[in-house]
Amino acid sequence: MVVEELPLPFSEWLVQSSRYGLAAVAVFLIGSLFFSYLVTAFRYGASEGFYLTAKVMFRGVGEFFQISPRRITAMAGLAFKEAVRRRVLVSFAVFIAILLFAGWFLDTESTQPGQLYISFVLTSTNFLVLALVLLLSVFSLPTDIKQKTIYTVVTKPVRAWEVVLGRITGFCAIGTLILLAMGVFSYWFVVRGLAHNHVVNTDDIRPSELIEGGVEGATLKNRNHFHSFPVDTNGQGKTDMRMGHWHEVGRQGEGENASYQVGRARDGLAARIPEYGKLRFLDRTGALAEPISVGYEWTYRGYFEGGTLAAAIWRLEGITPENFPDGLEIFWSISVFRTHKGDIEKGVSGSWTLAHPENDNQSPPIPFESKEFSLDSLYIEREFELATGETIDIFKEYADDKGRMDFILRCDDRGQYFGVAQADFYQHVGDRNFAWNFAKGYLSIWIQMTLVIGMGVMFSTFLSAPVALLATLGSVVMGFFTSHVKELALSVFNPENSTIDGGGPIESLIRLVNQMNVSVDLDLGFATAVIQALDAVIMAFMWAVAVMVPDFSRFDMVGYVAEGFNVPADVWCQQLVVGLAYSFVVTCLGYFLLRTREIAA
Amino acid sequence: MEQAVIEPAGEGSATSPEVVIETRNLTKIYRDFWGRQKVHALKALDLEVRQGEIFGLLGPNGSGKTTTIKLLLGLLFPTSGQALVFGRDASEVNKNERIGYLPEESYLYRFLNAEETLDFYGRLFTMAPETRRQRVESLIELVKLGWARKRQLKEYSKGMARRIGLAQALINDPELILLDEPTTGLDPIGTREMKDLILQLRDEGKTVILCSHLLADVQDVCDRIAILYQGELKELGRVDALLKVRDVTQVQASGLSDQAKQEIREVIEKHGGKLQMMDNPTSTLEELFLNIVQESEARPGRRATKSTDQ
Repeated sequence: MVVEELPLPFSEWLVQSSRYGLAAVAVFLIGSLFFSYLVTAFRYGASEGFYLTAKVMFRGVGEFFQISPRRITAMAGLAFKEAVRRRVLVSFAVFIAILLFAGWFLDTESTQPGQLYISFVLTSTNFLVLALVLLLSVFSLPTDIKQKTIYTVVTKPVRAWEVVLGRITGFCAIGTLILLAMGVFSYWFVVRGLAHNHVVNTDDIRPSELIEGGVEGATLKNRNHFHSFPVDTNGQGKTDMRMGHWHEVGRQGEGENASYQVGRARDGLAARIPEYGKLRFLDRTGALAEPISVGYEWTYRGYFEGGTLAAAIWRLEGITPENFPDGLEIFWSISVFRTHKGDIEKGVSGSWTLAHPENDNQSPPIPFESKEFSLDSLYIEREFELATGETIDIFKEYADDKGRMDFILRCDDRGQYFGVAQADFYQHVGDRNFAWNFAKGYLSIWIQMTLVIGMGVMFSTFLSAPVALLATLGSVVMGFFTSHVKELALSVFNPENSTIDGGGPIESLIRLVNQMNVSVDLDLGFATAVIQALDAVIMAFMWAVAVMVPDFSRFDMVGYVAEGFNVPADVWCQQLVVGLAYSFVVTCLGYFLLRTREIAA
Repeated sequence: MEQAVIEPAGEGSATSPEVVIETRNLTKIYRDFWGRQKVHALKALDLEVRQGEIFGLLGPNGSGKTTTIKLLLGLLFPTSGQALVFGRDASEVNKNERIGYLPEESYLYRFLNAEETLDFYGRLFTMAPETRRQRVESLIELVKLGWARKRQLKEYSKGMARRIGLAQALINDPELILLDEPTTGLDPIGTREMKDLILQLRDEGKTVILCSHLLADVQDVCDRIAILYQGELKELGRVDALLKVRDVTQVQASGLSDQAKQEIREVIEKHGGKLQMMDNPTSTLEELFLNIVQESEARPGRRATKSTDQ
């Protein structure tokens, strides 16, 4: 599944984040005031510096409440017209050209064409729009100041708030318009690109071995694949799942005159809603235990031993016949750690068992063969026949009164290990509208766009256009790698507890030049101490920047949409709040930087 | 020439409704990135401009005229001293509701047309939409750009851009108008119209501050002037008082015969005076040009050459 950590419920997240956010704002505010005081005190003396700092702060608050929507609209309209007359709509034409020629570079034989198409359009839109608004936002205000056109604006009753907000609003408006157009064309591109049909060769139709009185056959190849299908005595059937979709098949006519019609592709574009459970592990004796660490591996997943009583157990809630009248559809993805090669062509054997949470009722094991890091699924009919001939209802046998049911995963090959995390298993509880889910993918791009515009405008209030461009670009790039930069910084501060070797930037450069292995320590001495101290300073700065810039990787919803999962409201609401909070902070910064700047200097 | 008397600057006060602009010890020093002094642009300027007058700021390039205007508009911050506009600190934004500003060059958005330009600036003021539309219409007519109202400003000549620049300065019907080199780029007719307009604004009770190094323009329209040189105030007072040459008497008469002129010469000598000049006065080139244009508009075709001294 695309998420490694399940999102917190929005309300819970909001409470936690508010504390952190308010603390961050307080620290930032006090730091900014202190810094401003230092600068003004250096320029004008201690008491005058204090007076000026206080004046600017109180004036800023006062002017905030004098913001006029009319002036913001006027400024936004100007930014919009400026963008249009600078022919930004050309970017849309570029996007259309990319889509038109997508066939040249997209893998037409992909086994997951839906995933490929969606991630392609979302990723290309994302980078194109971010690049466009980056250029727009950083060049506008410095050009205005350089050409002195801003003189005729700031000599009107326009507050610096309105200059900053007007710019941000105007560029957001043009960006939104372009994004909307790209979204509509992308949707059309994906839907049309995946739409296809198949023809059935009636000569290959033969009696079915599985359905009494039915027939089975296969379609002809189209779009690099074909489907097999059975048709029942009523003339209805479904093809198998290939390339992430299936088709309905219907028979027309009878006997030798019968022909078979294949319907449109289904489930290729989905927005599945998963229901996750709580995971716990059993050790080889069957007792509750922590999972096994298999060494220098990715520690996200916990492992358990095969061929023993060790197991991973998910407890799901809401498993009631009302919610799932026909049966259960479960999905999983597991990692396999092999201690011996075994049959490398074959996956490791595992099994699922349904279990009652309060008594010993357990279903017979349902075997499967592992597919590493690939999504696998199983449909469990509501009623099935045991080997004894008895037919049971899974809800009556394995679910308790509260609708809870345990799903036990075991590895059946001795000496092999399965590794799983909580988000690796879920129950498919329903589907949302794909178009709406696609729109949510675009919403995440829109939030990123807003952040880039905010940062671009903020930097351009006090930097020249090229420097503002570099600063914004640097912040965005940093934003995509915040967690990595933080880890890097911590590896320099505390190398003993880090898995990253090689030191900071200067040490890495020395290693590169001298072709030194990262695991070999530098020679102890004064030079090494200086280098490491400098690295610590640089990385402290990098860490501070990484903490301050928005984490752009949080906004990545491409995985959700492309892999066919509904983007939960908890996720996009969190993103929206983070986007708005950052936009507010950069607007405040932009105001104070512009207000304290001599426009005509 | 007799030394003009400098009027005391601190005579009025910012609290007086008549005083529109007041500067107290206003000083501006331009510094580099490291805070080192680069230019001392304005040195302790004390000035007062009252309601309803046309005040001229005169001086050569680099004398501090534009710096003064920028300080009054809050585009620059004073190094020391104070600039008050309508009794408020110049960096306050609310005062701009009552101000119109024409910069030395037409710093306008070249991708907008005349209508869009005025509409945009109008929206920045607290003004009803209907009033804004009416102001846009009347100002376009006033600056005679009705025929080019839909053309983008990038297609405008310098004179046209100057006119639309003036229109944007007047969009809010301001009480105080700051004009930085208003006649730059205008032809003689445009210059005359600009000067007439400035006088008309004064007649409507508005205060105009004019900043120019075209002395004739200043002399024609200003009630009072301040002369700046290297950032210092050198002269301040009424134009007529400053220009009056008190020990020279000028008499203009028409229809005198040569004999009468001779008698006048003798009277001057008799009273111990020294005749400096007795000649036919000349018109200004501006007047001549305007007469020709006016005449040509009234009677198109080749103009009969006047007999003049060749």
